[in-house]
Amino acid sequence: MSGPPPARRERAHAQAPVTTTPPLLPAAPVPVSRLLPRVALGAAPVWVSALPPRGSLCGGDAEASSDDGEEDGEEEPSLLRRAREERQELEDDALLRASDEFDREVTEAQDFSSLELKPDHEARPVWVAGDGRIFLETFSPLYKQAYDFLVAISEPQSRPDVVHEYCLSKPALQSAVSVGLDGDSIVSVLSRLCKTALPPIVAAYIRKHTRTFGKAKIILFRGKHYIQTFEESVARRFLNDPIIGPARVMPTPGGDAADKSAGGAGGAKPPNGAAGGGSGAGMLGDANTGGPTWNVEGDGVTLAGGDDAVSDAAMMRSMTAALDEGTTDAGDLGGGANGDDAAGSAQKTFSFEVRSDAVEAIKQHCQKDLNYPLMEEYDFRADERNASIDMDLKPIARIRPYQEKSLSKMFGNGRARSGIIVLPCGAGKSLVGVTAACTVKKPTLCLCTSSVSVEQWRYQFALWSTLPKEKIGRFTAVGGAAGSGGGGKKDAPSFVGDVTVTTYHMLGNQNKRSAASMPVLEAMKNKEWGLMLLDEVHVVPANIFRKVLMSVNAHCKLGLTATLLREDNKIGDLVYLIGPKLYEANWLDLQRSGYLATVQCAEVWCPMTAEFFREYLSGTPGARKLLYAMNPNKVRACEFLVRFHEARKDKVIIFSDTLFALDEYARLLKRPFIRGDTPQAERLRILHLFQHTPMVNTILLSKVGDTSIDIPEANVLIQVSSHYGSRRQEAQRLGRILRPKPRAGQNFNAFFYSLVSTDTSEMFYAAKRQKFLTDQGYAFKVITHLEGLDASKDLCYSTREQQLELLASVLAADASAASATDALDEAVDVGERASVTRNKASMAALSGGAGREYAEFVRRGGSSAVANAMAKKVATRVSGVDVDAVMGRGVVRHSLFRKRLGK
Amino acid sequence: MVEATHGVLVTCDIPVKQFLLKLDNDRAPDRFIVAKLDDTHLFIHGWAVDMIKDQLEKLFAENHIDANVCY
Repeated sequence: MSGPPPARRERAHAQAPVTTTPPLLPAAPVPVSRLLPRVALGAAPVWVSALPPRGSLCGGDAEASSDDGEEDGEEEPSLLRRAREERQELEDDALLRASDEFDREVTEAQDFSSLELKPDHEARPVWVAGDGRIFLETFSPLYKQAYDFLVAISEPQSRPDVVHEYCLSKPALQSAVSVGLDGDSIVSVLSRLCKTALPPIVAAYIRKHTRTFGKAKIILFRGKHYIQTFEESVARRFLNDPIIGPARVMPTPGGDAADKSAGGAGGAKPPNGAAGGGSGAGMLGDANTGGPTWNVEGDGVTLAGGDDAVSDAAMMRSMTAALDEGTTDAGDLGGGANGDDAAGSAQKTFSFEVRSDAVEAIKQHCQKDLNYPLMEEYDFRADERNASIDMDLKPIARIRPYQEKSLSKMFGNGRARSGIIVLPCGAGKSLVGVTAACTVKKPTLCLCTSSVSVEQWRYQFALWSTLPKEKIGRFTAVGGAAGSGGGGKKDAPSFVGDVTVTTYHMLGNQNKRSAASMPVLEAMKNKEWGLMLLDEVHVVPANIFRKVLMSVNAHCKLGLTATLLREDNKIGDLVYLIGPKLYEANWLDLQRSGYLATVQCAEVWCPMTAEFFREYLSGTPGARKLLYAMNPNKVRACEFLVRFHEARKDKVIIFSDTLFALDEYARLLKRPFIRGDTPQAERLRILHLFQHTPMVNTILLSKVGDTSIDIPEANVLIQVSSHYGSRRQEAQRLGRILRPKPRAGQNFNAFFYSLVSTDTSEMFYAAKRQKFLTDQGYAFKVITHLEGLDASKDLCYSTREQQLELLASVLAADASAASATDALDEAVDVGERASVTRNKASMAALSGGAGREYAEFVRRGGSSAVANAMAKKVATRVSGVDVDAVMGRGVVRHSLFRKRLGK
Repeated sequence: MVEATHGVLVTCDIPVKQFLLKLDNDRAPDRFIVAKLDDTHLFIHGWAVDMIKDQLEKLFAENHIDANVCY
């Protein structure tokens, strides 16, 4: 859009203007912290409708004069640059045509032989394909640097041992901009890394999607939302927009005055450093860098967020220097960065206030329609309205390098950025969360998925931070409502503290609110939270959680997750609900450095027995699910594995989604189990026994255990039944055993078994579920036959009679009752509700033969309690059915029964 | 008098035998199984071989995931 004379210095292009070789490095975007002292953040918003003369912008007078001084020298280059950019923009658009995204549907082999290799291609680690895919050789000496760069600009698709695959995507490029890279530098670094010339379409794509990002921000200041931008044209565009324009709050004379005085205060005080530095003994306020500093008392573990842009620049500098040793670029680079800094000091901002209730709509609108995504930042040090909390990390807290890196992306410029950090399960997400809270030092609201994880988060806060446990509030179901998490009043009262932990469900559920929790909820809604931690953030897009984000007022949101994927493709919503992805770790790298356990993944094939498969073939989907979960060979394999690993003194978890199967397995193995309706106290007791005593070495969990139940001791996981093809669930479950366990002399110290009934649709789902983990570089070993399984005679279901009894009870399991209990579980695992299919059918329909074959139990009097109960049910249901036909069919269907009848 | 039937011996695993039995049942009265020999062997009419192959392909395709297709 062509607007009024452009602001002379744009953030991204502040360095040397037209050059044929674009400056090599990320142009070291000016850290915002350096600009801020002059612009008095949000304090005196410029009312752009009548754009004021420059003098009245928030910048001081001295500023303006220095500005003028520089202006003249740069007038022409800026115009030239503008022209060049516009030309480039047109070329890019022509190149990209109408298609906004790459077409990656092509499945057959593609021919890239037209790409010409550079002479020194062997030294370069990356291939870039014309469809936006990037391949990285992990054995290259430049791997580490190239990895850091690629993970910042693209989405990792598949990361096995030797060659990684990445995809360029719009959200990824936007998060790259938000951590301080810009389009031209991405293109130039990528073409340096690439073995061939960079395909022009890729360069165009990168430029197109980085151009508009980072130009506008949304800031919560003194309880009001401001939209801030560095460019006049952008500001004008926003104000003329049909959605954003009306949402603007016009300054009232009184309010203006108040704003001005506030602005005076805000302007006088540097927003960074000093304000925050006062609290906390170990705080090292550094006014120059403005970066947050984690100082662990007495220990010297100091984590300086510093200027992220600069550190990134340094990173890439070292990388490119390694690439082109002794060529011209190094000098160029330094010059560029310096010039940039100088130019940065004369930046201007335009900001206006918008109504709080329209913020969500505006963010979505900017993201999707205007293509000017709003960044969200919180200047927590300048925030005086919310009292700082005296909390620090304890000296025992050790922050690992990758945690430090992820946090430095969040606090890159001295403010807290909203966004999502992706770390594998077991890699210490909680510590990242606690550290973030200790950095912000403002009221923190922590949301997680279940009441068990509420207690675990409170424990983590008490463990890592100096905050006393009494100040860590909790808000969970009070008074045993509806069974789930009904810990009761006396052992878990709800209260609001400086740090408050609650579940998404408690906040999102609007109705059925008990009298006791009402005031707590109100208190939470009225409080202004500095930081909102969202654990397992991939569950948020469900509408119920949207309400949570709307109703609670938080300056900054940090999402934590291990698996940023959903089967329903709503992951994209997270970008405007929370923010861009700030960091994603590589599972295998963490495993190699010993931060994660080395896991052997295995898929164990369990053939269906003849009878079970026969029923499977004629069964409805619901019955089929039960049949392949209860396959006797699977039960035997499970028991065998449990015995094997208990003998090795391992701690075993068995997962089953099907509650019927869970109960059955628990009964057979005589081990405790936890499911959705297990009372809180009992859950904690079972977990305690499992963790601290040798009495319980195996527990069974339903899908309530998928996320957030922290069981660091467990190192063997057996998956019996699962949620169809959910990749997320598979990864979350693997995460239960990923915490590193020292065990000398063994290659693998954790085992993940997925038991699969062959020839059933479980095979299909298993393959789909594993996709995420194989993309992370895990290899699944297929075990077609468990060594020693046949030799162990005393396993259950070794005879046909026992198997048939099991079959009878499986078929008898009333499907509607089963789905009722499944619904109980649902209440806890609210994440993927959309993809659940529930089958409602009569028992007769689900058992395929309308239960007819069991009529013979009536005649024979039945041999077991199960059969008796069965017989009664059947007798009431099949009354009116032709008995001869029933008998005839039953006899034909089960040869074993026929033998028994013939005796 | 010896009665001889021309046919094909099918060797399969246990689940596949169940599958064939069901197939046979569904096709009644046009059945193709001549004799059920044991858990893993069946004797069938020769004309059914192609049909059985088709049906088995279908069964396997149902439970097989194509790595190149995104779901």
